[in-house]
Amino acid sequence: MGAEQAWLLAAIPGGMFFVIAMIGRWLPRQADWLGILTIATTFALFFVVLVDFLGTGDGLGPITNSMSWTEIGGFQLDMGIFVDPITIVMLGVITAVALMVNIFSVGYMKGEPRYFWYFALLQGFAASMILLVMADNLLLVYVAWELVGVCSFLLIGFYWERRSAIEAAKKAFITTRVGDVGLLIGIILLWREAGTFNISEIIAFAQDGGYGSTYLFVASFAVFLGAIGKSAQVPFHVWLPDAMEGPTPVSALIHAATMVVAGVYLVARLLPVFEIPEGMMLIITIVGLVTALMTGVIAIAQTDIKKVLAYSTVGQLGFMFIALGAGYPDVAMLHLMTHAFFKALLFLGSGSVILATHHNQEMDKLGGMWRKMPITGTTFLIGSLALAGLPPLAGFWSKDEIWVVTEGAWGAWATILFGVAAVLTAFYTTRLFIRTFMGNPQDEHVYEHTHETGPVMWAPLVFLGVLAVVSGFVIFNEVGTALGFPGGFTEFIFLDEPHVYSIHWDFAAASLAAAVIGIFVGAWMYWGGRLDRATAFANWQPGLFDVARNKFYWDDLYQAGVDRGLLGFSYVVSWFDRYAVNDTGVDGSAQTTGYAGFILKHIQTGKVPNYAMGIAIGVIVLTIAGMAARG
Amino acid sequence: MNALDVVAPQLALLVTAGILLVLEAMLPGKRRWLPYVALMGLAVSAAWTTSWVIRDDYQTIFDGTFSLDQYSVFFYYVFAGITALVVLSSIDWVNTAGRGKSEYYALLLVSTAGLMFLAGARDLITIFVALELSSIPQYILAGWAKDRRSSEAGLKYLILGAISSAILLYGMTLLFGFTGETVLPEIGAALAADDGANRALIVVAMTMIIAGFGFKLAIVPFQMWVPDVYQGAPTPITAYLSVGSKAAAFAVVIRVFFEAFGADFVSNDWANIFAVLAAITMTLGNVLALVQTNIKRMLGYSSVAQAGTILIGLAAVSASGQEFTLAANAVLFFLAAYAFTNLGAFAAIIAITHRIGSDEIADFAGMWRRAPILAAVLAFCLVSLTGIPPTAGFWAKLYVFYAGVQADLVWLVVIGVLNTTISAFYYLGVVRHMFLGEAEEMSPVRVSPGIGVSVAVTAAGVLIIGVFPGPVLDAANEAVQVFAGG
Repeated sequence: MGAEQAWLLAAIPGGMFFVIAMIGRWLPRQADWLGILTIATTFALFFVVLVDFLGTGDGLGPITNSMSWTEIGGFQLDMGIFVDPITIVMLGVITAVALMVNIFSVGYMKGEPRYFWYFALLQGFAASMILLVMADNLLLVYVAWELVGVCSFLLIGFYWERRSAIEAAKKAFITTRVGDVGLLIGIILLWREAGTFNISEIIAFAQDGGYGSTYLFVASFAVFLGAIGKSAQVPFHVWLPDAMEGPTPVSALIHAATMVVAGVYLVARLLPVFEIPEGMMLIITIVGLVTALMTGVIAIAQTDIKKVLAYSTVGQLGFMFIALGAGYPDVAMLHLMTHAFFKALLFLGSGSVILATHHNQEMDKLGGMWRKMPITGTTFLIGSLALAGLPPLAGFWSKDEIWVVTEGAWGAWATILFGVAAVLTAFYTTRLFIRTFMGNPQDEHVYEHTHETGPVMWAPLVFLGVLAVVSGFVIFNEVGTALGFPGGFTEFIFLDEPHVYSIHWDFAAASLAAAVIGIFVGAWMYWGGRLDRATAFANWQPGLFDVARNKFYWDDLYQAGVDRGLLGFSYVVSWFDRYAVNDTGVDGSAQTTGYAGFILKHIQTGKVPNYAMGIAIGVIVLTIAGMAARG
Repeated sequence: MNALDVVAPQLALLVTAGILLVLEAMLPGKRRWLPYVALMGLAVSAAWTTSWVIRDDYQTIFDGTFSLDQYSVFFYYVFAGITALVVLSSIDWVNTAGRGKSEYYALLLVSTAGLMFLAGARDLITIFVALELSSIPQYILAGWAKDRRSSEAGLKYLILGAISSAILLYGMTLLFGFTGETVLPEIGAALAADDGANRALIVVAMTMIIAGFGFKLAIVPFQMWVPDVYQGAPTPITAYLSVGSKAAAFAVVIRVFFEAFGADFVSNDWANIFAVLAAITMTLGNVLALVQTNIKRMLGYSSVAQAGTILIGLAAVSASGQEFTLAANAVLFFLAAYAFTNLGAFAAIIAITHRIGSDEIADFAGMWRRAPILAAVLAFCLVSLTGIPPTAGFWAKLYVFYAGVQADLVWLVVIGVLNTTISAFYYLGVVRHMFLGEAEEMSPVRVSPGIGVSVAVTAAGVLIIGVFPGPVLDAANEAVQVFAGG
């Protein structure tokens, strides 16, 4: 097997989805082992693909393998895979995190209803996500895009007995759907001029000036809407915090490490197209910056561990978009990878706490957990420091690099805003860690019954913890070369313009300072579990605090928009549909057709002579018609 | 010896038919093996066909009266598949019918051999003999059940079939009298040399031939027998008639048009006649299907409507002149997709009606609870008949409509689309009954292995063709290329 057969990575979990969904219920242990085996196989096959890809020699050009799906006349649709460095990174992240999440879920989901269905969905999600990052044409990307959306919907609503879970699933589906409409329009616009869905051909077509500049702006903006819908950027970010209703391992896999980065992946993949129209890169940067700053503020006022992590994820995705807006997909991919590892670690760590405390995820009732859960606490600390951006952990290297490229692309204003977002990140991360794991327990009852979770849960934490420490080092050329890559991470991704990494000491110092300031202020405010300083701050600026706690009123704004605007409009449309379209148009024509049926039924007499007469008349009429036409 | 090798796929079926009869006489206690012996015969036939595909040595034999080419091979596979599925679906019914089992399967195989001969026949006499070889067993099988409806069906089918055969034969005689030839390409050559003085005669000959096959195609106004026979005949035989003999008739009509009349000859004027026939057939079939309460009768009208849809493809073939391969390709794809879909629907219906003892649509209410898998497969096949993705029926309709648009028959395609809307009402009406209706009785419907295999294979086929139409489309394309050279 080589990289040409990389489609197996999607096909194997895809097949196992059906197997587990159909017969998993009756297999021993409801087939959780089968799910782990499937993902482990996929993870192993990833290395086969990687080795083969690195061994191809000729400049690590993309490996493609496609077949004709269908053709109608001159219109041909292909179905194929495309493996290049970006795909390789995505495959590595997806398979590694999916494997850890599958293992962790054995402990976390133990005894839950529909256990087999949960594992089936995990396989279905893995298959769809892998297909998404391998697809060589936009139509297949769109198919996979919707498939991951469906898996996400089903997993957020996994506990469908809970009303809030259903609401959250619906919200996620509808919100991303708004963006998806943009994506579909964008894909159609790109296809209409280029005549192909193939991504490489579309990029080549765009670079040859095939699209008009306004046209391309509209098309790429539409695609960008899809990307920010999936990646939960402002103003589509509202679904992701609610998506925390799903089982926590799902949040780690789908809503932190993989699905939500699909938008980042898509923009990175199509970045040569986005670079062409005037102003597009600035839009990407501004969306990223606004998202990062706003969610940084909101995260400070949240008390639910998972909500803090969710807003943090949205903000970190904003960082990735900032890197893309600066024109550096390599840097975005590096942050995507490091973030996937440390954020999956944080989510799984919070899952460990939640399970240990019998589904308590409010910080107000936690505290002091480190003593009870040493492994979870330590790995969570590593993840938090990586998120805060403390060297030499993974988050430091990628965040620092984003800062460098932002300054290069946009100058001082973006640099300063980015710095503020970085400080906020460090601050809320510190708050999260201290209030959960340190100080005195807030609720003795909860604390009494807490104990460290089993190895099936802490082993994935340790694995991800190691990655959260070391995965940033791949930025160095020496590390990349030692691992068999043609250089450091950024050089691997960005082959066209090899970019040898060197530390910018000024930014490294600023980056370290931002992390330290955030951590220090956080520690000063919350150390030992005290809340008086935070309360004093909230009282000093009640307006600011309310805005943060109410998430900048986005949800209220949307609710008002739906209630006042959309429903009113819908009322008019429904009146027209009911009376004009349905009663007159549909029912009218249906009644006419039905009436015709009752009349015509009488030609069917059941008598053979009548039937024979029909044949005879048919022959005569046909002959006359034929004569008239030809005779 | 070579000729025997060429017709071996048919011979395998005929020999198996003989073996079946002997087996029952010699080993009366081993009756339950009979259907599997029939399946073996079909497997041998298909294997032999495959051997010809591998040998890639297509040829005509018997002085040019029979052709083994990619086109006939395509239909060999279709017919072998159809019959295998019908045999599997028949097992339960034949066991309870209580008549000679061997005869039932033997007649089915003989009829299939006739269909296969039809696919390869390129001579008027061969066509006629093959047609009768396939029809006569069908007359018997239609009246196989011991009730009045079945006998009535058999008799009606026989009488009207005989009239149609007579008309067909009359048209053939005219053609022979005019050209002095029976082999299709030679007829074509003689017609091409004609100066136009005898056009009237040729038109009458063509009309008669169309009318003769129109009976098998079930197009208006030769469709009257369809609902009565479909309702009365044993359900597996209804399934067989609805896909087997229809596909064979289309196969032979396309061949006759290409090889004897020539695409140019039938172009334009006949295209319009076909188009009008298509519009009438679709509309009448669908409108009458709307008011049916019996599922077999409804599917009878549905099969008339589907024949009308295929006629769009045939009209497109005539209208596109030398560019016919796209439309012919669409027709062949449609026939294959329709075979799978309709057989799947019938297999599920056989399983359900065999158990509940009624073919009334009202009695399918709440079937979702009693037989979830059967109800799901039936719903899926009905969705495919409507032409909704991701099913084989979607692509089939898409290709036929596309061929119509390419042949400038946009008005006809519009009628086709409107008809699809009407058809959705009665197809999905059944689905509504099954999923939303309340069952009076809740006993689960058990499925025997034979039907189970049949249902699973057809459902998988409909889905796989629905997602990957490419391979079947390629095979159909290769088949119609046979005519592109001539």
